[in-house]
Amino acid sequence: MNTMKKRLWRDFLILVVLFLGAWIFFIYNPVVDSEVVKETYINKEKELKDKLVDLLDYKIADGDTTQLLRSLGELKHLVSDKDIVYDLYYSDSREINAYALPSNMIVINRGIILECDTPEELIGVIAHELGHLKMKHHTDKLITALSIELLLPGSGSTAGEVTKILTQNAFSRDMETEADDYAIKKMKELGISPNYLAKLFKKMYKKSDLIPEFLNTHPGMNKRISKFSKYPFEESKLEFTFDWLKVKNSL
Amino acid sequence: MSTDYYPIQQPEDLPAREREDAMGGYFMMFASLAAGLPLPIINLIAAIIYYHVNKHKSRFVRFHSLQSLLSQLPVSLLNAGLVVWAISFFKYEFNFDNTFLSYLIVVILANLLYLGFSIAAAIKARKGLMYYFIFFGKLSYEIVYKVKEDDEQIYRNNPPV
Ligand SMILES: [Zn+2]
Repeated sequence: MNTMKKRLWRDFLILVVLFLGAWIFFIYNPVVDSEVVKETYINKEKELKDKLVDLLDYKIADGDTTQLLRSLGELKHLVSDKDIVYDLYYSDSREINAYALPSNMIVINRGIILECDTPEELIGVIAHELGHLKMKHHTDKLITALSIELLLPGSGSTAGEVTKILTQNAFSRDMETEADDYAIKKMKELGISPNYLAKLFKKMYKKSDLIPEFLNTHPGMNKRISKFSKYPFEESKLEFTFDWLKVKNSL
Repeated sequence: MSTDYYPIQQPEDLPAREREDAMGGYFMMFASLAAGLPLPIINLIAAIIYYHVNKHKSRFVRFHSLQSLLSQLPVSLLNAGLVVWAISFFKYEFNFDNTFLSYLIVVILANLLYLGFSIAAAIKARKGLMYYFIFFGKLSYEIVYKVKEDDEQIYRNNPPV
């Protein structure tokens, strides 16, 4: 090997050693505490979440204050996943819609609750939204967080505008299919026939002047209804501590 | 294997135009700033284009633009790695740990070093001087100045046959 080649190799090794050495050095001698940075980030996320909940007047499902929130809390505990911790919120909006937001939030509107004849239908809705969270369909977590920050009071945005931006963030067809598949799996686990969701979809389809997250971009509403209708309808044996009709009437 | 090298031009032999062209290669790292896009790939593309446009001007120009191009490769790779790693935080989990933090610091240092050496090299080139980066300087010298066996034939004029 000629001397130039040797020198090249020597230089190359020096660079590699310098790079790895510096990397390892700073791992063991951190300039800032990464735990602190992480905590700051997580606190920031929480802060944004609180601001949003406050602005849009969401009510957390576990609240012990009303019959409605207690009942929603009960449903939330049924629809659980060991991989994911989420918060369920109620929104006093007449729009027939439910949606998942970054930071593991699921929001259920008054409109969709009134549309559900049974709590099982609402469980299906929550399971579908949980599917979006579980499959990490929110890739733009940071962007959403930043846009919320920009939209918050002070910049003059109304709650309505913020809601519009949050809910028009539609998922792709593939993502909807994934969320549906997850919902089917979850409902089966709970001993609820996926046919309950087909019933809800049919009702929503009739009012198709409203295009909520649930119907939008979807792999054809008919296809979707038939997917859930494939499962024979069976009365679920789940028991609840509340009377669904009473809950609905309280709205 | 031949170990002959072409002579290195001295400052007095280099016209101002060539010195400026040699210096220009180092400014390609600001290409993305000019384009207004924070994409490291733009710098790289600019450096590649610059090299191909200028490589026939003279060995001096070719050496400097090649050194600038080659030394940019690892820095671009490190930056790309950082971007991918950071994006994964928002797609998956925010795993901000010391390994990432340290990588971040090293990448920033690498960029600063690269910037510093490039400015130094640009100033030297402007003065008609060679300036060798560690590794990349030797590599560029080897590629540009080494006499390749078939070079002689390529540039030789032959009588008609
Ligand atoms: Zn959906």
